[in-house]
Amino acid sequence: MHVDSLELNYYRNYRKLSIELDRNLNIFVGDNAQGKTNLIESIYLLATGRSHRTFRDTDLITWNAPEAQVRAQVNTQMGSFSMRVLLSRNRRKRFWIGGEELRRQSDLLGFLNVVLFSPDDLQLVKGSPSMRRHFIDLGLAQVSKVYRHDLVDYNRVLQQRNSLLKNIAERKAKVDELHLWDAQLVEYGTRLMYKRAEAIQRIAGFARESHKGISGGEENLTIHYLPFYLKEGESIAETKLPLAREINDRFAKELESNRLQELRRGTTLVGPQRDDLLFQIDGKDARQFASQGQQRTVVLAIKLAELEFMGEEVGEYPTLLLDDVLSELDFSRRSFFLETIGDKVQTLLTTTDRGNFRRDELYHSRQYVIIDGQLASEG
Amino acid sequence: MSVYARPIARLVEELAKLPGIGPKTAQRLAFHIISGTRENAENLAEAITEAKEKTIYCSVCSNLTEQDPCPLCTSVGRDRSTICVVEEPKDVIALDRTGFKGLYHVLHGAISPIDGIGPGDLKVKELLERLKDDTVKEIILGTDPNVEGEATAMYLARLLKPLGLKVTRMAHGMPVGSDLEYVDEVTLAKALEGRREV
Repeated sequence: MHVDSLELNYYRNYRKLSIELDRNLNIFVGDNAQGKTNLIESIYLLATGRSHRTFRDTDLITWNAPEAQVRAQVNTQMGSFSMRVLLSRNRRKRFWIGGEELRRQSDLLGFLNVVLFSPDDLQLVKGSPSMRRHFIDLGLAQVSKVYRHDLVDYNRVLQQRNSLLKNIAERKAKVDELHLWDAQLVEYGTRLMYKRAEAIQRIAGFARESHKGISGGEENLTIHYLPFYLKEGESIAETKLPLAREINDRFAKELESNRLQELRRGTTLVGPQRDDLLFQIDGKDARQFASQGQQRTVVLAIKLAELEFMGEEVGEYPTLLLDDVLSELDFSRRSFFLETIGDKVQTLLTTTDRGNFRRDELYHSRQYVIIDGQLASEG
Repeated sequence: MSVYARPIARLVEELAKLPGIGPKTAQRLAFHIISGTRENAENLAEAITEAKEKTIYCSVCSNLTEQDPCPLCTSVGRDRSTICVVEEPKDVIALDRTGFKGLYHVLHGAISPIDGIGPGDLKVKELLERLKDDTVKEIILGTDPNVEGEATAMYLARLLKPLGLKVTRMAHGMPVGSDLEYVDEVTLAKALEGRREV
């Protein structure tokens, strides 16, 4: 997949920008606060329908402008088509693919796939479980329409069930209405969990390989899927995929045994919204033991693994967005990374200093200098 | 301060309350009404008032009707042993175009705790009333194929099955006349799940 051209109007600090992109490596150079990250963000917005930095869409519109627009010409195995997002101050955002307006934001996923690596992702190992769930959900939702639908349906059931628990606590509804939502909660939840287990097993395989490459073969990275029902000390062997039947039964059992607790707390306490991932380096929990450098290596390996997983699922690689992370890597890690993505992945990366890179690393790249929301030079 | 004259502003405001009509469309409709003949405007106003005044719920099936019971419920050509339960009156119109010959029952909504709608807020009592004699043999659950529709179908199934009726759920299907390879994978997955023996 490639973004061939990008056009921004009143997006953040860009009043007007129009650029052509290379199908391989694109490097955006500029000082801090010139708008490099905004550019990465605009591509992420096209791909997913939202920013990776803010939930408030009005933040994306240039101060004083009524609306902002992001437009791109995208080329995939489906053909070449235009993508467009329109953000307004007082209307909901709107999306078009090839001139046709989409009904829902979630319909946008799957047209332009991206893998984003930003400084925030360095929290992936030690940060909250919700970050790790988001990582797996976004990867899967981009490559599987069925997963996307199951995710939307599951979240809807969860919302309804939580509202019902609240209504029951306020004596506005009866306890026996719960079972109307339990069946769907378990059904959609099981499907999500089965897909997650399967995806993580494959991502873990890719990640082990790339991690070996980055760390020079000295360390062994393993990734485990931790379903919400897992008890302390119990772990799912990386090689063994749980059966859908098994997930379904344990989910239903947990739901049953947590019922009183759920009624007391007024919210759903079980389900994949409580899943997590476990990263281990040489068998030790990376959350507790990994150094800064090791965490960075793990995240790099995971991002490369996600790239491989999505590429294998779809039949073509996603576009890779690297926001200010590559220049922080030492030379050997960086060169492994650049060699791995080679000329098979369209990459957009930002850096404050070209001097961070060796000349031979930049040989095949297209470079853009960004100053105050404008393209100062390119070549 | 509004740029419209007050009566126009009021019309625009009322129109904008309708579903699917934003401020721009409301304005266009308002100007269209005002620039038309007095007769046209009166016809529209009258039609709205009459529809509101003369439409009632059928005491049998809860569908909207002018006479009670409604023509569908009193028709001699219908199969009285089957009732198809739907969420909204517009679903009756869609289903009746298929040539379905049974009767209908309109719930006027689906179970949705977020909106504070429980089973007691639907026209379920009226449905049970219809099942008191044993004319009805089958209930088809035709609620929408979304999470609220499924929950509602499940509620009705648990309520009705003990009465010894045949209770069926409308299937998720494949669009007729489509090639398998072009059907979207979600529809395909659901159709596969709801497969039947031949």
